[in-house]
Amino acid sequence: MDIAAILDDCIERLRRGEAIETCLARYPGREQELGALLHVAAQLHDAPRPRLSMTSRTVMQERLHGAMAGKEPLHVRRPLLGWLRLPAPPRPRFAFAYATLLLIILLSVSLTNIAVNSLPGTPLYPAKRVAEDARLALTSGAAQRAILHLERAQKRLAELERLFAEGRYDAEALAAMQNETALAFMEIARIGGERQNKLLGQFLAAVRAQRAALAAAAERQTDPVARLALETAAAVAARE
Amino acid sequence: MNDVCSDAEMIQLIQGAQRWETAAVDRLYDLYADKVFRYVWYRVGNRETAEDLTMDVFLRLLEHVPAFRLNHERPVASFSAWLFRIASNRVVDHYRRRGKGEMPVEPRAEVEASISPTERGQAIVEADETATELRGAIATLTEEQRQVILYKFVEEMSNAEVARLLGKSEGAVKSLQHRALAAIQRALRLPVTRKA
Repeated sequence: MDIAAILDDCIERLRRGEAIETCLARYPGREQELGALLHVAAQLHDAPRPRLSMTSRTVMQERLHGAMAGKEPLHVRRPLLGWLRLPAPPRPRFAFAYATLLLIILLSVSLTNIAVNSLPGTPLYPAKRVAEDARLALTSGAAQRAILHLERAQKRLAELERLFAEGRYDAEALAAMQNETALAFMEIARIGGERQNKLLGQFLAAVRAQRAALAAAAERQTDPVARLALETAAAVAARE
Repeated sequence: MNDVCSDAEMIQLIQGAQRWETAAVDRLYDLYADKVFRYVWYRVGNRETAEDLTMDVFLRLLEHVPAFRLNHERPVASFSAWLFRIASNRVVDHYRRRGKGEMPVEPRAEVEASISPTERGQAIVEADETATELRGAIATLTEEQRQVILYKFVEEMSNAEVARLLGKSEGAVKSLQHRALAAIQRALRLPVTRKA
């Protein structure tokens, strides 16, 4: 039996709950070679399996529905790279303005993409928020806006957690998260029926996640002012 | 939500998705959203980016599914392989656009945020630190090795399933698994500097 087959056999045994040592004992003389690999396999077995949050899941599904709504009938074939079609070439005297406009658009898109992971206090963060505000301004319907506010609240929470990991605290980011949560609730209140119940479930899940994250951050916080602010915010979330 | 799909159901789902039927697309999304997200997350290491790329993968699915050629002998495996190939290409595009550089390491707090509250706890938090190292080590693998590791250990597929997905024999999957684990072991033992 070659080493790849032996290793695979041991991995299957580990998956069924057998201890590494028991497995090694089955293959005397190969313990050293196998042992290290099996420890790596055990680490991989125990690695976390992150899942999409319920909010992100719903937002994505809504976007997919939106994309489907704009689909052409199946029998209509799009030309190759049809999406790349640009407007008709400008007349020469407008060429410079046209090129400048394109450049501005390209730069804006690139900056927005780069800014996606920026944090409060960094130079690109305002660009991230402007892009988010633009998206909100283009969103109509209470349900869609509620989902977007929940998504924005989740982003603020993720930013706060990244700041906490760096030992920083940002009162504005905390206030922004609470504001987005309140706006989401206001939009949900305007919806009726089954849809409202579904979004309320997501709202409560989001608030529970906020409460847990804020309470954990408060425990780790050494700055008394930040600690008090986080404890208060966690208590407010608990009352929602 | 039932996350198991038979070959017969998959044929119906793909045909439905090719007609852009919402129910079929929703079911495919339910089946694969978390799997694609995990696959991407292990390759980019950042929740926000992984979510954006996952969205992009499903939008591309919608765009290209009408042209997908259904393999009636192994519909689930061929569709999964096709979808993960889109995901893999999307990750490669992402790094190409960003330019070469070190793979970002997700802050631990963000890793925690990516796990449901019920899964949180000290043991998980400690495991996450290991996971970040593991993720870095996985990034050093070849594409085929990486796929074997993610399919087998993250998605918990059998050798037969992975072999069908990759179009290889089970023996080849075992060899790839062996080489991949040895490479991860070396990467974990040594300081890792890697390219995206």
